[in-house]
Amino acid sequence: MDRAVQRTDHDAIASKLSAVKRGYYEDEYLELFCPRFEPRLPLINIGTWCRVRAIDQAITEFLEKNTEGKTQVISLGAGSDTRPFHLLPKHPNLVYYEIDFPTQVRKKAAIVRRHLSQKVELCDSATPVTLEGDINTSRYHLLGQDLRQLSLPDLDESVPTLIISECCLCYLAPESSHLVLEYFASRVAHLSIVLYEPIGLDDEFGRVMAENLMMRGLCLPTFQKFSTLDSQTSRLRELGLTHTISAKDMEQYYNDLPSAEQKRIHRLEFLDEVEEMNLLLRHYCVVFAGK
Amino acid sequence: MDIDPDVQMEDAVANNASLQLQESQFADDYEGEMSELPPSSPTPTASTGEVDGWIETLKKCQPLTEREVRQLCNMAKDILQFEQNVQPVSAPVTICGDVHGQFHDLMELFRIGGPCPDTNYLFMGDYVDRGYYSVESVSFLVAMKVRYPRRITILRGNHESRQITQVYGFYDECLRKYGSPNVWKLFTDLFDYFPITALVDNKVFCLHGGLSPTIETIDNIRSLNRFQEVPHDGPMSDLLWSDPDERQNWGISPRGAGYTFGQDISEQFNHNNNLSLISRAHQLVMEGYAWSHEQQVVTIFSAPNYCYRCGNQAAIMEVDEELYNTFLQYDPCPRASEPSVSRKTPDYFL
Repeated sequence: MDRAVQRTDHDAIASKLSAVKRGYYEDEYLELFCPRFEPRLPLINIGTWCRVRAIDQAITEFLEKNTEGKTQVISLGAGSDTRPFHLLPKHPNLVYYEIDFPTQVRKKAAIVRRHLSQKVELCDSATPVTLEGDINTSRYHLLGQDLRQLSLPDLDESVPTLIISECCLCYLAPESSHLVLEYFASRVAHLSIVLYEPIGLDDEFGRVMAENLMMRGLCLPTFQKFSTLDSQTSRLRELGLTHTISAKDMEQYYNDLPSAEQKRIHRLEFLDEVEEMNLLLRHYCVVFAGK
Repeated sequence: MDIDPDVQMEDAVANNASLQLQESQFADDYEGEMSELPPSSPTPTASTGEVDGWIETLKKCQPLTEREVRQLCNMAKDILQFEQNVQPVSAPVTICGDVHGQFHDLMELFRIGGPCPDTNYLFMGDYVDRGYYSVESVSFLVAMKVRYPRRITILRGNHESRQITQVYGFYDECLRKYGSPNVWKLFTDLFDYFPITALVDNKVFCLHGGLSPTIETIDNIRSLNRFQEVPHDGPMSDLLWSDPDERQNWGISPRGAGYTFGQDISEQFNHNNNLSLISRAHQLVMEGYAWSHEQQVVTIFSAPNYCYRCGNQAAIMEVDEELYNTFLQYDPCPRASEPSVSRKTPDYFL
């Protein structure tokens, strides 16, 4: 199962590269992590772009709300995500944590050291590179940890902090994913969380989705427990994140896009699979909440 | 071969003794079977027995050789070039929607609907792309068309095009199965010959997509030149790309081609052309069929669990002599014999 989960990183990064190559958005660092370009279907390109955009929006909103002093972003199961390399140079008060399996982190750390050291201030002499693979600078922490044994003794709990789970917690057992969120909710006073998760297992599409993912060795235990937008929202509310900033399934998110953005992406490629895309988008949600 | 295909062969033979030429040329076709081309034909023509052999091969989900596909496509062209833009079809007939390379489900369709030629079939396009067996599916349907030209009608869908098949899989599949794009070229050249609409007993108008703001009457369609790649816009493109919509009037399609059309448009078109129903495919519907516009329009989709992802049922529509409709729904065909490793799981956001 862990291997299968690690392989999802390739799906995510390859889909992102496909969307970038098609012109949906820009990310000059992706190719460092995904050297081979595999074109995806238009519905995957659009859904991937929506997912990236929704999380980016939450981060932007969080950073704009907290312009005074230090802020933290903690990305769970970050995989090959390139966000820190875009955000760190732009936001001098931001500290960025990325946590993933040690095997994933080793691969990423090698690429970061080789190509992106300027972006993450690796030369920062006060905070030497430590542990096997991990990177620890004053503002960038790439940590190889199993989320089921999460431990961040050096975390500054007094700072406004945003947790990102972009298709990560859904692969954990419900108790484990609860413990992860609880870990932060019980420590950090000024906490926000943004979740991008699959929902809607209880219809035909959801059943086939669970079956297909099972064939890849992926089971989605939290998907079964938090199978609706409401249950995802209330799960955060119960952790004390009572201020729901936004909660949408991705079909709604797509339909609510500014019309100029919709027009722009309609020009990028023919989208024949409209109904299929709506079905697929309806089975993912983005929930953004704060204390 | 300058004949009027509007005249049904059975009628021509039974009622019109003056049509001697047609009668002699199509004597073999009386029961809806294929007629052999004269030996002077420049294309290598297969015998009925050979075509039957191809059909048996294809039924086992085994592709034909490139040479056989070449023969098949040439024979199909000789039939399809004489079909009309609005191909007349007689009831009873079973009307089917998108197939999309889901070969085993296509075999299930014939089990549910009854074997051809005992049952007449009308397919409304989209035989290729998305599924794993576009080559076998389209080869099978074209072979059936060649074998039983009067028993099966195959219309063109928006995926029967050079451009779309390069994005959605048929091109790649041909390359993988034949090692060259030759078979893709043969089929996409053949697609230019497919009729674009059909009319069942002058009452049920069948096509892949929907209506076009540039087409008011069925006669407008008859005057189009359909023997070309599906254009980016214009009447022919609209017929293959448009969708009915809850909003009135014409609208911009989210697909980037064709239009959306409201109930007012459907009512007017059916009234102007004395039609009882517009039957179309093109859109995934979870029950396999869906009425819209107060039963002026029906959508039929015949690919169950579309793309091995959507969890939908499929359906076909039987139309009897009184033009009464019966829907037959079916689920994906179980594929126990197929090794699961051959199935790549469809993409999700992971």
